[in-house]
Parts: sequence; C-alpha cells; structure tokens
Amino acid sequence: MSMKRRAFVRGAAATTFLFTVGGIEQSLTPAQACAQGAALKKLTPEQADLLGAYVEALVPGARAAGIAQFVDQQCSVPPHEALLGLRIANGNPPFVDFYVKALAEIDRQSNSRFGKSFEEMSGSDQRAFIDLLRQAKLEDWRGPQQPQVYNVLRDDGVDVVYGTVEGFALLGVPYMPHVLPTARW
Amino acid sequence: MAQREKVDVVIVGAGPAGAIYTDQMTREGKSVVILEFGPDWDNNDFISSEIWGRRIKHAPRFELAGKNNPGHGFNAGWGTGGSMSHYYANFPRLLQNDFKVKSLYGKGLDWPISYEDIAPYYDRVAHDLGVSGDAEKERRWRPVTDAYPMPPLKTFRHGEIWREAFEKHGIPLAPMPTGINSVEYKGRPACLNDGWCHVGCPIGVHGTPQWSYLATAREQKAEIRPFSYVTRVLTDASGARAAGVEYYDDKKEAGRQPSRHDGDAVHVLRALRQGPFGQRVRQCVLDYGQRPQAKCGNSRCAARSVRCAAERVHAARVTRAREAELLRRGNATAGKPCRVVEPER
Repeated sequence: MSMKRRAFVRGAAATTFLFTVGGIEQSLTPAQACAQGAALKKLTPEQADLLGAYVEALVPGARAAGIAQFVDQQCSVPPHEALLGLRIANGNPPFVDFYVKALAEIDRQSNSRFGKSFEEMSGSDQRAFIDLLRQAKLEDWRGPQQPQVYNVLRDDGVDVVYGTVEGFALLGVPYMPHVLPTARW
Repeated sequence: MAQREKVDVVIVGAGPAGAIYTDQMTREGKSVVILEFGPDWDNNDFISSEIWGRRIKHAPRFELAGKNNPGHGFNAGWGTGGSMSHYYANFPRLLQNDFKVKSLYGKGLDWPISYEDIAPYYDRVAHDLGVSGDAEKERRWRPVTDAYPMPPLKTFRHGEIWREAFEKHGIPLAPMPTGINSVEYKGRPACLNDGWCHVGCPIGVHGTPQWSYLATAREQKAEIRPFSYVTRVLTDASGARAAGVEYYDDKKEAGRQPSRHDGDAVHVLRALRQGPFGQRVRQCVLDYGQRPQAKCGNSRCAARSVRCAAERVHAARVTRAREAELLRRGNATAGKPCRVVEPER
C-alpha cells in the first residue's frame, strides 16, 4: 500500500444507490428517490409511510431526506454491501425482516393504545409513544427488542439527515475527508 | 472438490493474529497462503464517511446455530486487517496484578504467565505497529519496559480539563498509548487529528496489520486469497494433526488447501482463536471440538475457544459467576452442529 498525505482527497470508487423511477434504473440520492417516487423494492408503501412518519418524529427532515427509500434500497443489496446501522448493531440478515417486524409492532401498538395509526397520532402522542418505546415500557410488545428498534431507527434517521457531507455542513462540523464519498448524500 | 497446491503454512483470517503469524512464517522462508473471509482492502476503500465506513465492519454472512449466538458489534471487522483496520488504536497493557487476580483478590483465575513474560512482546508489537505514548509516566504502575517508539499524541483541551481535575485530587494520569503516529514513523506520516480512525485510515497513520505485518508478508510473497470461506480444519488419519483446511473460494467453489507445516490440531485451533473476534474460526473450532478424536474432546474445551479476545483480555478480572456464564453460553452453542450459511456475493 503506497501512501501520500492527503493524497486520497478525491472521489473513491464507491457504489452509488440505484433506484427505479418510471421503470428506469437511476443513480439517485435517497432524497431524490423520495421526491421522484422511486419504486420500493422490499417495503410496502404502507410500511414506507409508517417508517417515514416514525423517523420524522425523531429526526425532523428524515422523511424528505428519503429515510424510507434509503432503508428499502439498503435492504435490497447483499448484506455485506449494506450500509445500515443495523449491520453494526448486532442485526442479522435479511435486514428487511427487522424493519417489517418493528413496523408491524409499532402499527399494532399505535392502534391498540391510541386507537389510530402512528401517522394519524398527534405530535405529542407520537413523542409519548416513542418515549415509552425508548424505555422498553410498551407492554405486550411482540417485535424486536424495543431499545434496539428505537436506536436503529433513530440512527437511520440521523444517517440520512446528518451523515452526509451536506449533513456535516448543517451541523457546522468540518468534514476533513481523506477519501471523499462519491455519493453526495 | 479442488485440491490446491500444498504450501508450508495455511492461515485462516488476515486479521491481527493471522497477520502476525504470516509475517513470522514468511520471514522464516515458509510459503504461506492466507484464506480471508472478506475483501482485500485497498487504501481507497477507506472512505471518510460514517455510513460508508460500515462496509469495512463485520459482514453478517454467517452465524452459529443455537439461541446463544455470540453476536457482533460495531467494533468487529472483516477483510484484511480484520477489526484492527478500523480500531480506535488504544493500546493499554495489563498490569502485574491482572495476572494474579485469584491469588490476590480471590476472583477469576490466575494466568499461567506473568506480566514480565509478556512485556517483551508488548514492546515488540509497539515497535512493529508503531505506538505513541509516555512509558516513563506509566512506570508508576508497571515495571520498566522499552520506551514507546513515538511520543504521545497531542492532548486537546478536553483532555487538559480532565488532567487538571485529576491532578487537583492527586490522581496520576498518563497519556493513553495509541497505535497512531504522533510523528512520522517507518515512512508513515504523523496523524492529522481529523478523526477517521474508525472507518479506516488510508494514509498509514494507523498502526494496523495493513501497514505493518501484512505489508511485509506481501513483500515476502505471502498469498492472500480474499473471499475465502473456510468451513473446517482437516486432520491427518490420526485426527490429532492439522493438515490443512476446506474452504469455498471467491467463485464459491469448494476446495482443499493442504499444508506441509502440520501441527497439533489443538494448538492449531488455539492459534485460530487468537484474533480479537475470530468470528469465522469459531465454526471450525466448534466443528473440531465435536469430533470423537478431538484432543480437547469436549464441548467445554470448545466453548472456551469461542470466547473472543475482548473477553479474554478481561478474563483475569471476571468473577467465577461470569466465567460460569461464559461456559454455559458456549456449551449451549457447542452442543449443536454448526450451521454453515452459504456465502453470498
């Protein structure tokens, strides 16, 4: 391995995200995929809506940043290529199973506790729900462990909103890369 | 099943332990093949990104059977360098009393070796990889050993705050020894302090196998076969001597890689488990432990083998209850056959 100081401040040969819009596969950011209505590969539209609503409540801006499209696309690639936080949170593939089970339980608990879907709940009720989930206080929970659901979905939201070069800029944190990611999200 | 050309030594895994063995063997003139489960990373793979950096961390393409799967975390790794390719480079050493916790405190187990036995190897690794620190300040806790090859890293303001506070209370501190270059070392530059250790350092500041043991091993013509998925250790007719491995190559074709340098199978398996995580080799160890001819011969021995180094480092500190719990968990897994998941590519 040869090396030169700062010699790697350039685009690396990183894989870009492929989304399908109107039957045509394109390289897009998750935000672009969301805005253009890219086809989902693993999640249903209902699951994607719920995921967007839940993570938006935790990390404002996550829905428009394409949280549902990001998770959906990443669940569709081979596990060793996935960039999901679940990969480093002791999750085992297929990763989509975690999301499907977690979302199903969030939906079931929302309806049983509040009589409505999570998306229909008020902001304060959503936050109360998440607060219970965070503390593993939702009784009769049948999904993956509550703190893991909380942490993984929160981290996914932080990833798509703040994990990018642009996200660092939003936080006022200098990026200082050696090898700059070619994907701009 | 393809029969590969026999080599002197076959090594499973290009993580820190495998890299050191490879370096040592090639220096002795042995022909070495390393079968690495993951990719052979290149500088440009170490992308400065929290998200993209996950590619160099553990790739969950396999798992052990049983309900007590050892699991993995953010600090596990795969590919050349293993978990050291993205470690935080803290390089603490055990203290003298860590080796005698049973005798001194009635807890855990005493080690069969002492700090004095292992200290020369700490020094050797520090010089091989490049460790920055202040050995003089650490000598209040440990006997004199070599100075670190580099002075400690710069202390930033938040570190100064801690240091000032501890000094007020008369508590001595020393800079954490780190496998990061504080000055240029062995042709590798000093750290820029830009915080990308955890996703892999592409400029060689990080004291990892890529920049040390594997680099020299490559120069000595060691062959690294990435995406090689070892399924079991082969033994000779007696079952007591390791004679190679079976594995799937990067084209998913099954093969056998024999080695001339046969060894006591138990010793081979002990060597296999020495990496920080040894995720892949656990299956081989457990598989061997279930064979009737296995010298270790019981699941208790195999269970000990699945403990990762992180647990072993702290083993001297754990209580009997914790030790029993580790064994119980290991036994629960070891009693069931290994489920080898077909590698995905």
